[in-house]
Amino acid sequence: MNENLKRYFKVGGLLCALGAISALLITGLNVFTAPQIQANQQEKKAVGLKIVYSETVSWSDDVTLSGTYLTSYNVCYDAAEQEIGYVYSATGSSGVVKTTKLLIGVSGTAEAPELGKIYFITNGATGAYGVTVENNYVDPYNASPSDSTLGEVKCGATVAASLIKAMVEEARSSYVASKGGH
Amino acid sequence: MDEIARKRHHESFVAGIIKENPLFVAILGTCPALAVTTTLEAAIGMGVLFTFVLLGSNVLISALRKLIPEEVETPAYIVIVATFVTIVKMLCEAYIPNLYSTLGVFLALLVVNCIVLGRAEAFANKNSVYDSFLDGIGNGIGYTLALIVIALIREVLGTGMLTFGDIFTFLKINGESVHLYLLKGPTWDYSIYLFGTPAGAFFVFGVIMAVLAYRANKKKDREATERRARAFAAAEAAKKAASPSTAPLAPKGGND
Repeated sequence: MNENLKRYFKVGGLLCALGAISALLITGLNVFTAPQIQANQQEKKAVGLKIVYSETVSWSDDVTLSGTYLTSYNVCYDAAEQEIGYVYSATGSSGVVKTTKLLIGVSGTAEAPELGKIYFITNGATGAYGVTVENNYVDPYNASPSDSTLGEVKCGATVAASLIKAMVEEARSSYVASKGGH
Repeated sequence: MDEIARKRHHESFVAGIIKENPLFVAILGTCPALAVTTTLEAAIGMGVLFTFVLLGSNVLISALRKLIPEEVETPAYIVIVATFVTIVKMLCEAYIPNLYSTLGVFLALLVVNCIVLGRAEAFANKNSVYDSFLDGIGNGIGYTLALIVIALIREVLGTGMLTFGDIFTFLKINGESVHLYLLKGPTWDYSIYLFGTPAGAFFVFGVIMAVLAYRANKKKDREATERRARAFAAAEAAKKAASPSTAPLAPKGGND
């Protein structure tokens, strides 16, 4: 066999072997970590549902959605098993803001939907921008969820805040539609 | 021979901590260093994960250095580093989820971290496994210490306090994070918001670099002065030795 060809095979074989060992290691580890990661997400979601609506005692199973950002929603109930509102799960990214996962509360009627609190499952704005969007946008919004606090996107982390605003608006539209509105 | 080997091992370990500190001396890995140093806990977490990745990749690359052909060194190194980063990422997401969400994309970016790839190229592929292991630990400790210094300054000045338990939940007391108030009290707050922002990170990094440069220049000046003094003393001694003696010569012979 040509010497060059032998060398190409050797190089290719080595890279394939490295890739295969790497893939095996990662797959093996994933078997152990995936259930734990899922449990963490569920735990965080349960905490989030109770933060969005503090009187939440129980909630429905996930209802899958396929919106631009919305992936599912849960209906929250209080101790008297009365519906409190819907909590939407939204996922999205925008420019420098990586995957952001939010819980968004919406309640009320189709004619007069009321915005509820929002809760970060994952804050895609990292470092100081992550802290800025939480302190300057999410906290004031959660203190008083309304269209005026929702519109205050120029908070020092405008891209992240605009993404959250778009997610909340989509959640409200979905809520209105699900309650029979337009 | 043993003495030489011991000295080399010692040098491999110590160099990365202070003399060749990756962040403050080589100025490598500044991007994550500025981004994740908003809190001390995040800095420690990043430092530990970085050390694990550097250590693992250094050891494996050193062990495979005779097998990896020169033309595919970089792709092979990236595969090895990426494997360690993915392992660290998965473990972190499963068991320290708060650290995972705080570090965000900067954890994944360790794959292309210039310190990790730099140590692989410059050290691990030329030295023994043991030396590469020591180099990995030394550089990891050096980088972690550098992150801790920046984070300590930024968290104290930026928030007025140190917080423990937000990321490492086992540090919580009665389910609450522990706050150590330093520049903040019930009625007063001397914290400066700027230090929590990226601009503050650059400012702190710049000040630390300036202090280190001042110290290095001062040391250089002192050494130069000492060198000049030694050269002057040597020249004086040589001049003295070369010049004829001024002492009167003893009269030769007896009386005529």
